[in-house]
Amino acid sequence: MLVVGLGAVGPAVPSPANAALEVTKVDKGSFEPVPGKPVFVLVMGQDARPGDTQSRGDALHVIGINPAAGKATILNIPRDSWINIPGRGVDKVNAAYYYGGPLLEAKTISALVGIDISMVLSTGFQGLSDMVDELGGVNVDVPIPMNDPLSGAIFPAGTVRMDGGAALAFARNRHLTGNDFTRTQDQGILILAGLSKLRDSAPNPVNTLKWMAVLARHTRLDGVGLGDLYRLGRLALSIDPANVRNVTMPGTTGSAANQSVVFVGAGAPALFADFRDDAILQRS
Amino acid sequence: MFAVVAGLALLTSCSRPPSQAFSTAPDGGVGAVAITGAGFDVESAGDVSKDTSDATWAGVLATLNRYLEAAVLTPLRTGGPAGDLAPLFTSLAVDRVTTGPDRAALIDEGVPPATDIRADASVATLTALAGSDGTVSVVDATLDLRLRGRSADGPLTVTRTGDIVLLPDGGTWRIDSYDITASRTFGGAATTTTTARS
Repeated sequence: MLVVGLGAVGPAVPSPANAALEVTKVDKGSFEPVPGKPVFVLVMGQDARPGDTQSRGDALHVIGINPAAGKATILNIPRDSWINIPGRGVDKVNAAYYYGGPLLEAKTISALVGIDISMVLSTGFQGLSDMVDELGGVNVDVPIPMNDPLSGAIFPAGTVRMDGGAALAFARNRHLTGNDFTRTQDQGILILAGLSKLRDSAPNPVNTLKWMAVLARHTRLDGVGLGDLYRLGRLALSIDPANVRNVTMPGTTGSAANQSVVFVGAGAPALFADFRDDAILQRS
Repeated sequence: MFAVVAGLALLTSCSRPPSQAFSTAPDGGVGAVAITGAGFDVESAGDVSKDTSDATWAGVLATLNRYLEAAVLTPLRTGGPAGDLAPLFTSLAVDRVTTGPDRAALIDEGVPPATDIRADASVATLTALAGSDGTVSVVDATLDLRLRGRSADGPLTVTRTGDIVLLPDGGTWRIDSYDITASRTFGGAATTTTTARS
């Protein structure tokens, strides 16, 4: 999962391997979604393992929420996307976290897509697995049969009940047709499974407060108040997963700077434009 | 993964026992309709002092009673418009209530003036969320408000149930979101029910 070609220089970003979740607010002030305007949040899975002191954004998903419409879109960004990192030049998108933490990752993807990301939520391998277990597992719609001993992703197609370990294997399996494009799409499917589970479990504000309290004990908050987190949680839970689109940035694989990379596809600008105005994709 | 993360609490939610039986009585004297606390709970990532929790309950109930007076009792008594609601809501919520789609569910306008207004129930069960530093950041009030009175057209009843969520804002507690259902019956007409969620 390491990004090759980064070199040894660059600031060390504290590893979140021991934290279930790290939440970072991008701009100043309280989180106040403007009525009628979409909200954009970056959700990251990181490649840090216990003991690691540095990490990179291994899974990158922009979630755009349109509260008025009750709809949302998960826009998946392949981790090897070869794009400009502000102040650093062209590199893989996931290197932004290595160089400048969640704020630079958010700035990089905001510039790519043309949106303003409000918050960054990131977790690591162990954190993701633990959280799924604490949820009591999730029901994941596996799109195609998987048989990958390396990741442990051995699942039939269809709805599969997964514990934390299985969910992590599902999210990490890249030995599929489409490689990383398929993997990042699968991660979006896992996010939807989590949203569905939470919608069933936290149907009212009191339930939301209860899980927020536990969340707060397992979360490192950076510039984010619990009130902000509550607002974001209610916003996310207001969306029926059936009204969430899961799409992956189009791209083409290639090579640059002696690395295997993903070049932003010709269809990406139109997709971003469709996404940025209201977080809803009009095209099929 | 946020959705996954957010489920942490479901199995290990830690609630504290109510700090004490607590109530605040608004101005109005004996017989006045007022919202009192029916239960108090703190969901916390840290320790919350008794002073903090008591101040929270008092502040939240004060706002709820100001809301009751401005949005419910004033229009019911006068048959006219509500009082000034802007100070009671956060900037995120105020427009939806004062000029937006949720006014009908939050404010009891459009009914004939009523007298002898009494409460069959006027309680709120409060649940607070506190961070690891013991600061209370969010309070949910589960409201059970059932009023009745008399108008020139006959008996009048108003019920309002659901959740009101308040945040500390500018040194006071303000209503930030809600999931409220209001029902009104007067003049022998069928009950009208409106629901607002934000």
